[in-house]
Amino acid sequence: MNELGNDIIICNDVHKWFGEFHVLQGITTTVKEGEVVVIIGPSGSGKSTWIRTLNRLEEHQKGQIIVDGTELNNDLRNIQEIRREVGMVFQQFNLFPHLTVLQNVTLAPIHVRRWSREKAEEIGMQQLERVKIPEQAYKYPGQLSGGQQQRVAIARALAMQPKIMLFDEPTSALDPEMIKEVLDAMQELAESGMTIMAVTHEMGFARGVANRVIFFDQGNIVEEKPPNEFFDNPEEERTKLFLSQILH
Amino acid sequence: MTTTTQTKEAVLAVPEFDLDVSGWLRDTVFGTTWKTVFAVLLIIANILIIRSGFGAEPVGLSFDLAPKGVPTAIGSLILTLTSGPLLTIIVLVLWLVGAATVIYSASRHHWPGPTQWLKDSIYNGPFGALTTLALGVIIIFAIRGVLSWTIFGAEFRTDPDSVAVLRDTTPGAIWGIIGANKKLLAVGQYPSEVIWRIWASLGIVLGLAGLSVLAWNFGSPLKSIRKPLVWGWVASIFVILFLLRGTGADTGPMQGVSTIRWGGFLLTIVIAIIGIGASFPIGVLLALGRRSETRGVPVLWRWGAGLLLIYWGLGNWPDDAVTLNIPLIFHDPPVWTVTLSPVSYAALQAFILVGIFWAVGYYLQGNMIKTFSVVFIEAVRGVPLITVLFMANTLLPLFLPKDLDIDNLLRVIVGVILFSAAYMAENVRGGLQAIPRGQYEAAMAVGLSGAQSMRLIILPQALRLVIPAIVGLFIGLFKDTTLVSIVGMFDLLQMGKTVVAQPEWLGLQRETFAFAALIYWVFAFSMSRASQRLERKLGVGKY
Repeated sequence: MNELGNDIIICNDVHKWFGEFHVLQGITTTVKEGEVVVIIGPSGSGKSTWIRTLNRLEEHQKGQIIVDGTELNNDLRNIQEIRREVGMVFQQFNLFPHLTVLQNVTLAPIHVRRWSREKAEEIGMQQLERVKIPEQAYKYPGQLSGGQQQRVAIARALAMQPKIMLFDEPTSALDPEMIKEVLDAMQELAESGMTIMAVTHEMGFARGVANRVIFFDQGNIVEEKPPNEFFDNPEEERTKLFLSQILH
Repeated sequence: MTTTTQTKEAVLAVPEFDLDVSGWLRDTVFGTTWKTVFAVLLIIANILIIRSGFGAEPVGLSFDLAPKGVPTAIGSLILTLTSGPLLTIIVLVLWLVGAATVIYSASRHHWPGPTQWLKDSIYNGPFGALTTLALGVIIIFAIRGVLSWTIFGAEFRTDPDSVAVLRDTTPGAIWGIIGANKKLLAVGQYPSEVIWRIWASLGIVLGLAGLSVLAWNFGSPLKSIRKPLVWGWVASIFVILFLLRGTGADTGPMQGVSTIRWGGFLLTIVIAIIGIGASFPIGVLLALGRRSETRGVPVLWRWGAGLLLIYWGLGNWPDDAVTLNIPLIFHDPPVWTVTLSPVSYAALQAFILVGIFWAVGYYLQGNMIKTFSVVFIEAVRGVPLITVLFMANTLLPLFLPKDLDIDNLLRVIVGVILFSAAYMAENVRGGLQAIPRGQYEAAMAVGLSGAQSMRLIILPQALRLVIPAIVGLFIGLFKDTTLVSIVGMFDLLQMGKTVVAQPEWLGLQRETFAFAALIYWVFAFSMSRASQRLERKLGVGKY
């Protein structure tokens, strides 16, 4: 396990409504630097919405979110600053289909970090090597398999050299034989000391890599514990029920 | 070993002729009553067509090919080659050879070379074969007719005196009208002594086009000039307009040429290119504006109230009772007369004005960019181009100060741009809507600003999707430039009408309009081909 540093994500009584529907019902938790947090829970519980509020893809309406010392509010500069430091990987990869793999990876470093093309390409190739697909650099996303595309998406997020990585169900859209290559990349990332928050259904990853597992239901955290305690010794009834349903 | 030899022999052995003609006819021609009737009709049509092919009159020959009615050597050759019987026999023989090839191949169950194609596309049964024969004869004679009118029987002399003598005896077109008026058709009343400026402009365009073809079709060494080339194109618009317009001088090489004197194809192409070039970015902006979610403009009913107060403040507060005659349909008399006291009339005014502003504000939630885009697009798309041109030409000057004289051509071009931009906006919006939400989210998540994600992620994909629609719009716009003749501009078509009205060329509409149609077709078709190339190029490696 990594050495944990200071608090890097602080959520304080975070609420969100979609119209009448109360999605997030007062989430309060903190994540430390270098921590790997896995969020599990039934579908529709709001876990994806929560992780998306952390880089303002969804707006929260009440409460406080502080990421890397900056509070997320309506100030566009704060949002931009936080998005620079927070990488995100989506369920559907969301690669830019009109750009090559390398262009996908270097686009944000060039236009947001304002690095030179040479520097961006050097770092981009390093990240592609890190996820083990440097040979695909000049192909288009449409020519790659799902697992390769998701690894490009990870490299794209890493090329910005973020402090935090958010994963929103990164393996849910993949064929089973491709899940491992993505999980391997995530595990390597976790071992390198990156702060990670991941919504996933991969219990093996949660047990083996996470520092902490959060069980999320009905818009709030039900239980959070280190993985061994969480899986072997859940306290809440709802957690027990959920675990009994997914661990046959 | 033995099996191999046997197989080889089986392959090499020529099979028996086993084409079952009666079975084949039973399956096709005599399959149903309708098929039989159709086959008989086709055969009758073929007989009629071939008969008229045999009996076709010889083509007319022009004076040069047959002076005083006696054909020269070349004239005789043309007459022989285009004689009806010869052409018909050629088609028949070709058709029979094709049919024989297919039958032979069918009998051997072996389809060498293009025979498979022949069988699948031309001789795929009796109906296909008969249709091919009829169409073959018709097409050959159509080509013969066109050539006869445009070349063999056509008179190419351009001096009016010769044409006057030869006109009645010439069987084909009198192309002299185009040749003699080529300057008018090309550039209108543009002064001859400075026509070099048009050649210079053409040179600039061709030079840039040549460089662009090189830069975009050959890889790395020329890639670096792409960016300067784009700017070169932008700059060329202004350089060329300056070249065409000249300075204010009355004489000399850079004398001013008023746009009233521009005409013919020059005018058509200027309107089309500026219209297309300017409406594209405006259309994109309007499309983005229509999808804009910007908020923050104050609630609109206050604007209405403010306007009303200003209106009243200017002395329009109703002093006397106002009588309104409200027309009714099912009422006798069909009018409902109401008399309102000053206060209730003012209340009515307030209700209507504030109400309208409130409704607009409520509907659009204070998004002025969106309001403007929606109102503009819907207003312009709701009227015909003719109306916009009339507005630009006759109504606009009424609203402008008297001494402000805006160039007629400029007004027309602005009308064309606004019109085309509204359509462009809707096309682009269609493309924008096809981009999945995930693309916006991914762009935001890597930290791109709104403008950057539009420019780098969304628009490149959206515009690529709507290339066919946009090119269709451009082709339509190019052809719609002919409407400017209605507001007094002499574009290619209108110039053609003028040319035909000259006494020495009177009545030569067919030649002039055929020529104009050819020019329009060549340009519209080139645009269409260019767009297909572009699509293919941009589609590389995407899916």
